[in-house]
Amino acid sequence: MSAQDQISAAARATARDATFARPKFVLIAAGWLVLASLPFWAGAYNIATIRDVLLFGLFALSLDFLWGRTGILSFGHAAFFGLGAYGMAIVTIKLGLDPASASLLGLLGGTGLAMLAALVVGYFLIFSGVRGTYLTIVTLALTVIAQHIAIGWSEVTGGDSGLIGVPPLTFELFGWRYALSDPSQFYWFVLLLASIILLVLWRVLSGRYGHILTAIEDNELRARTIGHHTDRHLLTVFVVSAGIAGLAGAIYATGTGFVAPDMIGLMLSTEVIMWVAVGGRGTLVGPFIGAFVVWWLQQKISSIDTKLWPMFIGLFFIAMVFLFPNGVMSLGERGRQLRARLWRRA
Amino acid sequence: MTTGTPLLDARALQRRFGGLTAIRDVSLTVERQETKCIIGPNGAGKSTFLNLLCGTLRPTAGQIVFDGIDVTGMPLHRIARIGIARKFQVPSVFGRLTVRQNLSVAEIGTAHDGKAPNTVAEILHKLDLTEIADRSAGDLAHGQKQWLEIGMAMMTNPKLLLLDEPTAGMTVEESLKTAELLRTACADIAVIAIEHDMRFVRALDCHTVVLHQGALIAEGPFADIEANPMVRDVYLGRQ
Repeated sequence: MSAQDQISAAARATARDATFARPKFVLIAAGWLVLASLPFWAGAYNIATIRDVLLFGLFALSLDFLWGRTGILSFGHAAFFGLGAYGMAIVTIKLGLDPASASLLGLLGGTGLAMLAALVVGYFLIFSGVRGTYLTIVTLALTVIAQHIAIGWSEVTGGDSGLIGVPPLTFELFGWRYALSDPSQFYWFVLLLASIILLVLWRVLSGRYGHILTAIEDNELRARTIGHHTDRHLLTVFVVSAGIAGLAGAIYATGTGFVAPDMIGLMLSTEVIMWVAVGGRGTLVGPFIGAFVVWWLQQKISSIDTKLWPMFIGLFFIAMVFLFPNGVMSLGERGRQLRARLWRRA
Repeated sequence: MTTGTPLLDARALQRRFGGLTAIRDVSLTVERQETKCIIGPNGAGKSTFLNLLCGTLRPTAGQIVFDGIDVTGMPLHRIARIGIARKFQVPSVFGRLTVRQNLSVAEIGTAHDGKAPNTVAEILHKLDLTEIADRSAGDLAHGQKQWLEIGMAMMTNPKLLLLDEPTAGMTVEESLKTAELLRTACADIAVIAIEHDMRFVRALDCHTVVLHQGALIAEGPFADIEANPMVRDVYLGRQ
């Protein structure tokens, strides 16, 4: 291959990337329309299931915002999801308020609790220069501690069995009360909320702020010497990420009607990392796709034999990391790469 | 305005690492728009000295006054914001961003002394980077990365630019181009450069400071330094 050929091949590759960026966008829009029309053709059970998958996707998005954009891997993100869920449950069940104020206070309380925890833990870690693996290990401890509290402090959290009876989300505007007890309406509310958060994050991160975060991940010392208060940027992302996770958790609890210690523990913390990894770290849309793909595989495989699932998911995860390190969002490009490699070898 | 007093006044700086004194009692002043070179053999403490000036290291003793403000022990991002920029020895551009995005991230937007802040387009032009503005910084050649880094430092609208071996690893032509770029692009700010490459220092032809074993042993115009027998002895080598 002459140098000339290489240059024209590179030019064709860039042109191809530009044309492929469009279909990806069209696909996402089509996927969204399918999701939006779901209540018209799917049964109530499926609507509720996909709603939960969307909430898990929102939770995964919160981790992707942190991990994909700053490189900080939180191994305890379920702690924030769980704080949101438990916050909602405790406010609505234990305080005896009227439904509308309980819902609002539960949302604010759950989300606020998650953000406060992230603020306190994040402040002491990030501002004292803890980074990388060390930070990950502390977040791992965080989720373990949170789960222990959820199990141990049974007067408040209900212990092992959790709390049952979280009412549906209820809003009150100018004396007009509205409970999201209809599955379709609740589903649309979740879809709309997830879409708005996704769009806002995407918009913010594709601008200069996203570049600053990339710069911090690339070389934090350098970012600081050009005048960026990197500790504050990282803490902001950590707290906002925890807030989104907490919000997802709080709404999830109103959907299922109960909270249990597995919503705050290590297992869920591991799963959310997998959703992001499968969907593609740093892609923002990927986490939703990842949550969906993993959930769908779980349905299919558990229906053959429930014992197969844990074994499969381990192998699947390893295979994903080796074959598609950038997640399913990169399937197209990665497929071309692998094909080109085989071609050269032949 | 603080005319009359120097822009940078480093007083009796000292830095110890355990039992080793890397910098002993070094004082240095830099006037506005002045260029100074620091030379010295390996291990003379040049990089340590620069690290003290830009805040990456704290002095064990001594004081640094910049533009009338005591900056000793100030956090890095604040030092950057009051007008001290630094280019690292190893090129450290943000490899996943384009040249243009690298400059935009470094744009702080606060100019000093009533000057208009530098814009991305201006700096691209001044440092001859316009043609490669949309290339990924990770793919640039070594020399281009160094120039981009000088550009990033310029985007912070500094009053003082610290350069740690700006021509390390460059070809002769690239070194001379760097000297030329510094003369044109950084004409209106103060520059302190650490350098090994005598051709480059000769091309800059500025006030030169010689460090040896952590102490300042001579300073003056480069021609005098080159002729100074003690400097030839410790550094340039007796010939």
